[in-house]
Amino acid sequence: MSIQFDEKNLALLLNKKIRLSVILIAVVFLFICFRLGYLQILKGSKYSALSTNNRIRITKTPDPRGLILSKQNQALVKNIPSFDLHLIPQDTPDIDTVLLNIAELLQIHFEDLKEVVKKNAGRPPFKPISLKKELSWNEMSLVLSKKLDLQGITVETVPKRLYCLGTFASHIFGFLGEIDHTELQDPEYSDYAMGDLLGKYGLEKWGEKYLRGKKGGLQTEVDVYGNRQNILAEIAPVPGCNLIVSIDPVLQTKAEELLQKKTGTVIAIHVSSGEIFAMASSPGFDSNLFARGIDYKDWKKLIDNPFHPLLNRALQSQQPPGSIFKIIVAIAALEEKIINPQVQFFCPGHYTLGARTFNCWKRGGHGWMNMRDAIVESCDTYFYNIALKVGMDNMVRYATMYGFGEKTGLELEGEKPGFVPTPQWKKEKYGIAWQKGETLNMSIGQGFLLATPIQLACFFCGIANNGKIPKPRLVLNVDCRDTKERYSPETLRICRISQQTHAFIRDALAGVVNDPKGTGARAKTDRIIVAGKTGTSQVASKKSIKSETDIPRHLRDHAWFVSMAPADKPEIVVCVLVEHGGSGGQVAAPIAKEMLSSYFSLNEIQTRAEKGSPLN
Amino acid sequence: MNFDIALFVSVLVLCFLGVINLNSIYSSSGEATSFYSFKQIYWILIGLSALFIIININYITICRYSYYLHAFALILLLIVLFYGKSKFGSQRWIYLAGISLQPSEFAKITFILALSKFFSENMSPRAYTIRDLFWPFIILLSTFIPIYLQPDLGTAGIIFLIFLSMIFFLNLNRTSFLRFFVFCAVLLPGFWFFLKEYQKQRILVFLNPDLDPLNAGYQVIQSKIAVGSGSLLGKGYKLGTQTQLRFLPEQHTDFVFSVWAEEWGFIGCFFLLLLFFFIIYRGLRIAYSSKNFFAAFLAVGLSSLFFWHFIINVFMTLGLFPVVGVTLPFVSYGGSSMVSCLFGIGLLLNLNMRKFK
Repeated sequence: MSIQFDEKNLALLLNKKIRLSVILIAVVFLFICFRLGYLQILKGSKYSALSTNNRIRITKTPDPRGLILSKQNQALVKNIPSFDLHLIPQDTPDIDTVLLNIAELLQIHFEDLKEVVKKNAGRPPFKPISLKKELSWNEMSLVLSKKLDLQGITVETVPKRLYCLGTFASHIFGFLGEIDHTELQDPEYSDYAMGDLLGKYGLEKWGEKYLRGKKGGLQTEVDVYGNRQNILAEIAPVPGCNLIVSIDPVLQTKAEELLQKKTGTVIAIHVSSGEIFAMASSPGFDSNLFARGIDYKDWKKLIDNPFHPLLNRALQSQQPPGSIFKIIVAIAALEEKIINPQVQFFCPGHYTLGARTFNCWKRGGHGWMNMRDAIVESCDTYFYNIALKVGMDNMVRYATMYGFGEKTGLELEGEKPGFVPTPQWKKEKYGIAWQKGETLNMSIGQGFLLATPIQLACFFCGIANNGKIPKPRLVLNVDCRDTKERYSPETLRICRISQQTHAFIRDALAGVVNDPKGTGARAKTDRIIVAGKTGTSQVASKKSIKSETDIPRHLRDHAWFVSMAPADKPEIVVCVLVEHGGSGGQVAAPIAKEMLSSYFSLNEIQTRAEKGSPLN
Repeated sequence: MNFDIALFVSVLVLCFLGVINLNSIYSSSGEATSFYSFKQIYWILIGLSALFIIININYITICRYSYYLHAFALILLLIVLFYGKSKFGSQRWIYLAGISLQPSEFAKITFILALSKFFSENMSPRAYTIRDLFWPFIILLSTFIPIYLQPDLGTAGIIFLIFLSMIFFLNLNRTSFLRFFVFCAVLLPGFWFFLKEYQKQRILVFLNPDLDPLNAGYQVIQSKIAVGSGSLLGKGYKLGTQTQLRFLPEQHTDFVFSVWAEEWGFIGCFFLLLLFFFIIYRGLRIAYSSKNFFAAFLAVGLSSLFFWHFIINVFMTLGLFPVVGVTLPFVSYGGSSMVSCLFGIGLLLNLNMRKFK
């Protein structure tokens, strides 16, 4: 069977071909060597980087924003976990199937999901796309139970702001919003990234630099399915600092409730320290709507609301102070010794200056009035009588002394300065000389004169505190765990007024509430002696209008009531403004009374608690 | 006795490296750590027994039974086609006594035996024309078609390449073969229509991997990343991130070379290349020094088998060839492949032992 080599030529040919093939094979192997050298040595670093990219993911861990706490350490603004649905397209073998599963599971439109993914097409690889924010518990458990069918889908926990008082105190705490383009270019916000939330209003804005923590980072190694294998490096996030604020949640809630269905503001402020216990502005808004970025529909609703809920009326509503300004006139008259307070003027219900008649609010007249009577009963005629004697210069000087026309400078943005007119100003602005009649008008707080509720509150702090006006404030200290920044009370201004004058005024103000004829009788409480002053600032001339209720709402008067208590040694000032509410005595005074009663019953509870005696 | 100890030792070294490499693959996963490497040792032992049995049988005897052996392999292929166990969409395995066998692996060897027998018995001074190759073509098609139908494009391709390599060593009539190649060149585009959808996809993706970077192109991209990131010295044993974190697909079969390249770097690859080159060179040297045509053709055929397997597998992993599922001899996991390769080495050793007889 075996074949002997008789054909030598054939064998030679075969061996020649074998030699040739060895050379060919060597060439091929050499080629492989070159190819390997190219990939591993020449391009080695490139492929090393690619393999690193494959396995290492860098994720940012969100920083918990600082809390806002009350003095009693009660959280007013805190963080709660919310759950977001994320997709990493690179971890998903078949995006459409996964999206279909999600759509079915969560009852979302597949096209909407597809749109979200398409919008994020340009993202760097392995950056998660947020498919849905704020999953409910139900949705989250559904997703987690089907995790095997949802490759590339993760549920991430993201801290979310919770405003515990809801719509209450919304103007104080403010809200968050996504960083915008101009802010991103601002060097102050250099460590912010697109999509970050930051404070846009209220204390959230004021305290941004404290409340914001530092984001953490997580460098993890993942396998081909995106499952985390190892944590290679971790930088723990640093939570933001807490703000301790003076707001008392009970008083704040009370103030908000009293203002329900009204447009206006209530301020409760501590007389000597300037701590604001309550500052409500109605209508308000729900800060929680902004917690993860507000949606367009809700925003439009807020913007289009005719009552401007975003306005913080305590700082931004500038109105004529009405009869409250009479206190300034009285102080000026006493300090300049222009009028003896015992001197009486007769009020027939009106006052005639040249050809013009100036009406007192009480058409029937008050009869004989001395200064105390005039304050208690808020007689306009008395002040018409003394207005020209006191003169514009004095009125302006004393008004400015007590802070009219100037911002109080508390933490919140957008405070309005109010306005104190001068004859010189009018001349420059309108080219017309100041009229004597205007001085009369000014003496009862009408005309060009404008004041904000916080200014009037500070003014009354000055009266209560013998001329020392504290700077109103909300933030008591900033607690950064290791460092505590304490803000001590500051004095806004000191009015050099005799104690005697202040005592006289305080006594008159107590009369406003407690005398039988006082205009502020509705603020009277049994528990404590309240002192206060009503004010009604005219919106429209009332000549043709008979009854208050006939007037369309937007033409009704603004009702003021500024009060302090206890009258002999005041602790707290409460300022109430109800816009278009009617008369101060009727509308604003009862609100102040409620606020003061709550404050003092709270105080009583606290002192008892401190003393350790049981409540009865 | 003229036992080619160098060839034998280099094959053993290669098998050993293969086991080491397989052991790395599952080192980080929760699965039985050395499952594949352990089983591979078992297959190596079976293969070595086959090797030692075969070197004790005179190859002249083997030559006598070549056609019958191949016919037996063809019957197994037909059984696979009709009763086989399918895996990944193709039928390649049959169960025999609890062991899953891949008859196409053995058919490669018997195919070489059958062709060697035919060529050695039909040597004439007159040059071969296409017409003279009628029976070899029959042998080719009878082997190629059932394997192609499984479908196992990779092995079918190897069969065809072995066939081409072996006729290269014949005394060929040039004009006749020129005509034949022109004929093939015309037929080749028509061949496209016989391909399955996934096969077309692989070829398209090979031509342009970015066509589908997440699915079909993914394997090649990940393999190139694995190889490239190995750099000069490699990432270290069991430290290849592409492997351990399973970015690399089909690690224990098609892409074992990438695992090796990632963990041992260019140096390791160069060593592996040397071993393979040495084995093929030794095979051709045995062919060169053989005293009859059967031995020469058998040695040439077996060398070409190892050569093409090696080249196609490595080209695949380097992105130079479409992913067709061709394993790396002695290194890839697989019982039938290991046993038949060691059987092939046994035949080479056998030829060398009896070359002076």
